[in-house]
Amino acid sequence: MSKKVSTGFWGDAWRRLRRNNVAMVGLAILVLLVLAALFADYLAPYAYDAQDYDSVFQTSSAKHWLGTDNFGRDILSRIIHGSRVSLLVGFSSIITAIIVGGILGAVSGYYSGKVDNFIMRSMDILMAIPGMLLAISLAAALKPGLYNLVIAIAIAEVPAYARIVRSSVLSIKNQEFIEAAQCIGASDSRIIFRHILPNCMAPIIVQATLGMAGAILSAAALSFLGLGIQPPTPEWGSMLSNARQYIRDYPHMVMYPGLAIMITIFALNILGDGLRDALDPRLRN
Amino acid sequence: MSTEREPLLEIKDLTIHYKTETGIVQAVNALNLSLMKGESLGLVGETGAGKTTTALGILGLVPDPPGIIVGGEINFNGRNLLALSEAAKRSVRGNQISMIFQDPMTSLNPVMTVGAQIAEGIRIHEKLNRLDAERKAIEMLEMVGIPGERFTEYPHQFSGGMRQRVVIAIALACNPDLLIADEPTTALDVTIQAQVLDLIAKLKAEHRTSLILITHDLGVVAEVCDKVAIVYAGRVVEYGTLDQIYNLTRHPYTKGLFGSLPDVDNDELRLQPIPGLMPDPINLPPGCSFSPRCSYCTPECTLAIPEFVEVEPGHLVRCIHHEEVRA
Repeated sequence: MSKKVSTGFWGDAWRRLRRNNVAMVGLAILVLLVLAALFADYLAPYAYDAQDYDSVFQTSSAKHWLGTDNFGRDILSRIIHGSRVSLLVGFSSIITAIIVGGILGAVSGYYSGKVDNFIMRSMDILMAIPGMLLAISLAAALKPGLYNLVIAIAIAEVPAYARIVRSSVLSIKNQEFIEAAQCIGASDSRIIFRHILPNCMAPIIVQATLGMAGAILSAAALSFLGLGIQPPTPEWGSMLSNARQYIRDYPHMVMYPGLAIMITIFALNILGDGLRDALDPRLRN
Repeated sequence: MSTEREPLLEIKDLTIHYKTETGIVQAVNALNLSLMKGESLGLVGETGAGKTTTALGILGLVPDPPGIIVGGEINFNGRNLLALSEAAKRSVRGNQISMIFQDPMTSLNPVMTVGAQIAEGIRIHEKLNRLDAERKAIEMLEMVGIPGERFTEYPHQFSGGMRQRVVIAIALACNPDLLIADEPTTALDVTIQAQVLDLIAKLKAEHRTSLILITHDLGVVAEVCDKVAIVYAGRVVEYGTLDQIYNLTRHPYTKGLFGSLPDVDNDELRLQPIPGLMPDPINLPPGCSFSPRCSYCTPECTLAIPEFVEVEPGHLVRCIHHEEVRA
């Protein structure tokens, strides 16, 4: 028996997560991606916009590990730089959506009645519009750019979190331990944030990992439509759409950005599963 | 028996209704109670008699909607709890009045360590920093007979009896003046029941805490309480000391409750249950609510709700036939 220290809820969750090898692989991949994004300028062998018309459409070689595109730009460098945008958009839009949707859902579920009706009907209106279409119209209404891309995707994702959090809050708020918390004099905000929300972390985190994958794809799609990141800034989605027309002759151009997206989403999913288990003390110890 | 003569809690004409689609549920009707400092009161009644609603009323936690406190006063330490602001009520809860729940399996937060849950109340009310609150929580844990090292464990790692000890530790963490125990032993098996009751009685004596014990188990009341209030359909029908209620029973309902208990000394083939069911709290019968089930019932019983009669010092009965019941 190792000596146990009181580390609180998150400390214990981390202890459990560390024992889950698959989740740790996911986390390792994500950490590598984040590092690649942070240090893209030092890691990338070429500048992302360095064109070389003597070597276009090259496949893998010692000079260009992942080949070059139609302008002779190094694909590896563009993928490394592109991870910045994809991860940034994925993380920040989902975090924004979780915070906004989570608070709306928690307030809605906890207070019920008129507040609940108002918030949830507004969410229903947002949900009635297909997420992609909503993001497209928002991105078109705002000016194209990184921040507006984040805002557009976040707004489209908010209702999903509001609903999930609300339903979890509804199922938890009538449990006796919430009444017990009221009995020791805990305030409403304390009950929501310390007692209810930690109890509904599992569905939020599962939704967040899937949602982040979706957000990365949405960002790609918006960039593809010209509403997201503007060229020449590399972005995995726009690299894909740009490579689309050469898919028959130069499949490596689609393969590598596609692989980058796939690996990121795979890492997010296995990490999400691990987090779900780690955050639920009933599942493992 | 208590020696101090100052009432800690005095409930006057407390009336709580629940508004539902089928009608107004009269859960608590002009309920009167008083409790001295250091005393234990047993609140006895059937399911649905309004015991738990009364307890929630004292804590200011009657769910609203559908609950409405129609009237009455709850004087606690000289302050009317019903008139307090929400923030003031919060500072009373857990600090001066706390509650032990029926089912320790559901009254602990599954994702918080037991230590953090004990420390929470201390941190809310005593403005201690985290380390001091944790130190005090460990003391509380040891006081209820759980090793302090188990501070960082989660509720699912404890057995039912242990969890109820944790719940008791949470309730007593801020040294409340009044402890409300809502059927604290119903969910436990019999051997653990005795341990938990002993623990409550011991800690209550050590901390000079008053106790309201809500139960339908007259045996439990006899073990722990000084005073007993028998509740029927949201009213106290008989109130007195343990001795007065158990040996000088004056209300037909109380008598019926004793009649439906098995007796070790007498070899009875059948118990004598009280005929009929609790009245529907949406349509209480006119007059005495117990009259439809009562063998002493006469036409006068259905005319008006009987007044509280003091049949001997400290022994109050709501029945016009109390003389016959004794005979």
